[in-house]
Amino acid sequence: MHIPDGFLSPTVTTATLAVSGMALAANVKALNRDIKAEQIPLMGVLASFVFLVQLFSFPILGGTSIHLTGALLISIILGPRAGFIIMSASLIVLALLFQHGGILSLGANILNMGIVGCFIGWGIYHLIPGQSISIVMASIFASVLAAFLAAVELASSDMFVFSTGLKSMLIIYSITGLIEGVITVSIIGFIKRIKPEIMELGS
Amino acid sequence: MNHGFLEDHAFLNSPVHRLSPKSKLSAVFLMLTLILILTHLFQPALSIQIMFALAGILAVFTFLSRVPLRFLLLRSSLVLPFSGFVILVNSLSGTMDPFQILLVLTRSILSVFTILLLISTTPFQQILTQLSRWKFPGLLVMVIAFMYRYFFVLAKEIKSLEKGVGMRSSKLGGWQRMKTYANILGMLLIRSYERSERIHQAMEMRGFSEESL
Amino acid sequence: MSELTLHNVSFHYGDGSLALQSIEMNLKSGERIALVGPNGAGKTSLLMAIAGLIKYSGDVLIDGVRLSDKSKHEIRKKMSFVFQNPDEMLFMPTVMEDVCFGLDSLGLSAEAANAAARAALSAVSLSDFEGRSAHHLSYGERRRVTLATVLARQSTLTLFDEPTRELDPFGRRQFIDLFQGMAGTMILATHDLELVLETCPRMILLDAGRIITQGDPRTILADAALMKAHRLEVPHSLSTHPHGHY
Repeated sequence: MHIPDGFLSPTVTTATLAVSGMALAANVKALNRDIKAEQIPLMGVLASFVFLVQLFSFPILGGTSIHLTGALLISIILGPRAGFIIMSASLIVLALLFQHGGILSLGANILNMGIVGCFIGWGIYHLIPGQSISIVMASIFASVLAAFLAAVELASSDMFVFSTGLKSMLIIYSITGLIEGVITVSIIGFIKRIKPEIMELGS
Repeated sequence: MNHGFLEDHAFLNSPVHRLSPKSKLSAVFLMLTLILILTHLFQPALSIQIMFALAGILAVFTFLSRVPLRFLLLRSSLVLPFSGFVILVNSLSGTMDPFQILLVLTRSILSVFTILLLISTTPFQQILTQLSRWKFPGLLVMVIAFMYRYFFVLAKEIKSLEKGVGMRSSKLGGWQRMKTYANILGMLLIRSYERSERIHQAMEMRGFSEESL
Repeated sequence: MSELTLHNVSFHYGDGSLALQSIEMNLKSGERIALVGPNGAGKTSLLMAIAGLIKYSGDVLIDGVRLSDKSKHEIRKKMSFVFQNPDEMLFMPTVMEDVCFGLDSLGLSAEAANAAARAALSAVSLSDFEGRSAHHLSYGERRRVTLATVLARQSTLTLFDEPTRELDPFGRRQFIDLFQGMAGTMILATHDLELVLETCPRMILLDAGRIITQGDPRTILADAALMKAHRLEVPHSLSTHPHGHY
């Protein structure tokens, strides 16, 4: 869920911008230290892949389609730090060029989808790495947590009432999380068959 | 053939186009901040009047920019579903009066409109360059630059992959379809990886090395 | 212009199969040579070896200097490698930056680099696209930008991998006109046999990693049996028995 501008209070906006800003700064610093120059084209081109995934409507059953985030997929492949930079970049460009989500609300969106997806999601996956079930569980958890945080942010801005909407939101987002988890497992399986060295990039 | 649709009007010429990216970006941040703060400072009735005043300012700039109003309004309306959702939830619990609802609508539309005006009058590269002048992290800027550059290449590739796999025919059942798309995305990721290797080789050939970063 | 010598150059793919076998090659300063062969013959691998992008055995000498991990940085300053796919060479936010990329490592100051880039873009008639991103350009225009990168570098040795691929006749003609006006030692890997006839006084026929023969394209390409044996075809302009006519 990309929250547009105009829905978050100044307090929530400032708080989330601060959290996301600090997370970005810290991760950029860490990556600048560790990353080799030749890995930048890789990050950049995979970033355009993630961006496309987020724009792209993935068709599922019944003629409907969902939007994937790609956060867990990219974090498994490149590691959570690089994944977070890429997710943030994608959210920024989506907000600017496609108006998916606002500019001042980037703090909230980067927190909900970037930090949660890349660090918490990947962290859960990493408890039992390499297993499809971990991917699916991590994906569901990240999706639900992201939705929950968005609900909290909106509620704190007097835009959302927990009693009315929360339960259905959480159900919907656990389903989309499940679907994205399954799709992620499928994509990783495909890559392992065709070009397994990609899965070793995470170091 | 040229996928310039994202920059539909950015390369036109007008007084607004000719403004420096710095002033336009600054103005946009200022506008977004004003929309955010002023409406939380004052009562809804007064806030709405402030919104209309800000809308007036935007209207002037729109006119000067020669960007078609219809285009901007149409794209701005994309924010309505989310507004609708929020309004619905709040209406069901009776926590919003008509003024507040109107305020939510105007805030979101004005914010989106402002951004649209920015990208319709400023080429994306110039926005990026200005952000890096404002000390946006270099790594992030580079990732965004690559992302922008190769998005269209990937978009084209996914279309041809879809065609190649025969996605035009809807004979595939739900599960098959999903599996096929997962494979398409996997293929796209692998191609992206291979492309990045060749880009790196191209950079190497032109003297890019560890030091030049 | 650069001289190029290959001596006993061999290269194996990751799975152990042979891509290049004991290649011997000599190019004099300013020579233009075409590299022709069926798919999988090793044309691209040969270009990659000359560019030092793959680990081969044997010797590649450019202007007498042996290509090695140590010397390749200096040697590459004289070279340009035009890839099959222009999107792999044009990765900067604007066309101007694409052409300027790497000019600083040649020792040019920022002003000199800008001037060289402008001149190069002008030479390929793309001055108006300086500030645009490569994806705003048509395929043919992107190809011309890759030529501009070569011109800006003033390379003495240029490698081309399938330069006329997917170009429409007009774009192809534009390429040929520009190519004919360029200076330097050139290697052209291509399937476009008419291009070979028109632009290259010498050619090498490569198949399965080996040099089958080399010499005058007009003789080699007219040899129907030879062409057929290597999955090629006598170009229409040389054909005494037209393949088909209306």
